[in-house]
Amino acid sequence: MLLSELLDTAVIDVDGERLGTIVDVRFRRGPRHRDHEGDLELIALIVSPHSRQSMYGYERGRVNGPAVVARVIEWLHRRSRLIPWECVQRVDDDAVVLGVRAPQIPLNVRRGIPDPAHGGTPAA
Amino acid sequence: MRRARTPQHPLGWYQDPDGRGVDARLHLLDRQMLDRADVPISTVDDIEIDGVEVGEAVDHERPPVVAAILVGAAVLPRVFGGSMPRSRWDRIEWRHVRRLGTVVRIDAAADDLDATWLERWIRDRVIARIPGGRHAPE
Amino acid sequence: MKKLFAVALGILTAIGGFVDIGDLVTNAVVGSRFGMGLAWVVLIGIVGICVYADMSGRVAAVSGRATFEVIRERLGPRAGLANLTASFLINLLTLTAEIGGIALALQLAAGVGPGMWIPVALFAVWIVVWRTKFSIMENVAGLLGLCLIVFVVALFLLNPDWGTLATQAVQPWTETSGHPLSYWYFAVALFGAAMTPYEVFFFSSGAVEEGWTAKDLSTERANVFIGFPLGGILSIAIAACASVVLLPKAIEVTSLSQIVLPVAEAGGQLALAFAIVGILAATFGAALETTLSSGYTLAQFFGWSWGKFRRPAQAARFHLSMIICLLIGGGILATGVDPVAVTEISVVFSAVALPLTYFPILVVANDPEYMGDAVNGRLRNGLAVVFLAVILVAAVAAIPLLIITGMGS
Repeated sequence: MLLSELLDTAVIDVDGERLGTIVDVRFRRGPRHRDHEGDLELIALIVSPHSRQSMYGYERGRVNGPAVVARVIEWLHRRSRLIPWECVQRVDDDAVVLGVRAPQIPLNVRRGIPDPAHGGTPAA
Repeated sequence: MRRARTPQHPLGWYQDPDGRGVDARLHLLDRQMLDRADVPISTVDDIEIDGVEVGEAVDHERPPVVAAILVGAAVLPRVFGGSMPRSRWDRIEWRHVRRLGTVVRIDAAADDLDATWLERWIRDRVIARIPGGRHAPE
Repeated sequence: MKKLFAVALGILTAIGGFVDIGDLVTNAVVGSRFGMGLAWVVLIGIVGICVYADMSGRVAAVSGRATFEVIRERLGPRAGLANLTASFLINLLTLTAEIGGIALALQLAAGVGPGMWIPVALFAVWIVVWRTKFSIMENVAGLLGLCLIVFVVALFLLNPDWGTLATQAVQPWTETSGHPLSYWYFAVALFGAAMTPYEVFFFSSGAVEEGWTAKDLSTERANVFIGFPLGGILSIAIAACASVVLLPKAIEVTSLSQIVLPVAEAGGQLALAFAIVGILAATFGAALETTLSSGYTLAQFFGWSWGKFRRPAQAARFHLSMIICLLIGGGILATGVDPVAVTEISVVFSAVALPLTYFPILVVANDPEYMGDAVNGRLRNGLAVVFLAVILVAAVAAIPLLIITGMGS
């Protein structure tokens, strides 16, 4: 499968609710081999209800300045969230369907995880 | 075959607190690829992922991994839409990637890769035919 | 002399931004119509290009990434392609004008018609791009272009009424001929010309050509803060000379001979010779800058191997694309169209290219992944954001003004 087949695809939650579109895909670097990079494992999808992409890094907490620009872009992407890959049941042509309810994980690492008592994550 | 299940890691882990995360669109796509001698090869135009197929249920036994970087005409579907058939993919296997940073360094010589055929073709057919083309500037 | 060579890149870049053929004509026209009333725009333009050229130079030195690579990475393929199209067209149209300008300057020198000089100019530009070392190219073109300092000298020799000039500069409304919208059209055009994207494409790629690293940041700064103000001073001097000599006589600027008229009046044949050499070097330097920028933008967008530091055989597509651009430029000139009028149209494409160029530079200059410790400080960011706002305003106003004023007439 190609990355471009995942990008800009809709994500449907377990109960049929549309969560948004995939704007990016998060991998994690495995341990490095002696002279080449370790494997990149797919760990999460970055989903936005507005399908706004950003290739600037402000909304993920990686770039801070200028303050004006950072605030505007973070505000534009305030509802972007991470969907762990383990929640995905199947990938179709036009949508990615989840098998369990997706937990609320804000994209921006500076935002904490919402308390499960307030309807964030399901019980393990 | 492992089906979809609740996240196995603490939720904060997915926010990449230790910086080992690589977001494909932000960090990989459209980045420059350099060869062993720092000669530009191409941009990263798409990424081939192994372990999940469109139309099938996902097997969560193992997470999907990046198999190869696609270059060349692969950029066209991203600009204009549509998709490109598998036989037309120009691939550079992931095991050739030496280091990821602001550029992607490939552990090979540009001339040895299939994907750089167009540069070699123009070099041999056009540039080498013009006097002085093979010489360093002075 | 060696110190002067160290800032040759900045000087050559500034020449393309402030005193290329389009600017020579525009500054003379502005001086002959508005006096010094638009000098403040040039000053703002100088600050703006200094801020952003410095940022693009720092990014290139610290991370090794030239500006159009940064644009491609931050805007993605679609918006990046839009920028590439606009920037490429600006480059091509300006390149065409510069080749025409070289021919006009040779006509001024030799007295015979411009047409025959066009193939000579094309070949000369190509052979320098093909074979000459980058450092030799920038040293010769940059420093010969400084002959335009004769305009500053001429201004003093003309013994003008400094009071009048100052009044015109500080109170622009005292000397307006024509519709006030024409004034603002020229203001936007001058600002757009001062901040044309190919200046940062060339400067950042030149930084890579020179092999600058994080240790060379002070050299990079010197290039910016000496080169661009110098270019701006030259363009103001040209406007001032036109204001002193052409404005009182209501002489309309339609050819190069009117632009050099003040210099001839002030200093005779010797000064005229310097002016012609300066104009020839400036248009030739600008032709080199725009040709190389065409190559740089295409190569950096598509990820090709590029750079004059490589043998042409090692940067085949880069050199082929520049050859094709030169041929297209020659073709456009062969149709007999006025090359300078053609660059006026490129103001339209600047409206798209300017914001799409400068925003990615600002973002990457703040990204620790590229810059490490050398990310922008508060002052740089503050100035950059202010100028980004000005750029957006200018970009939005450019096309309506162009249409309403009919290119300033």
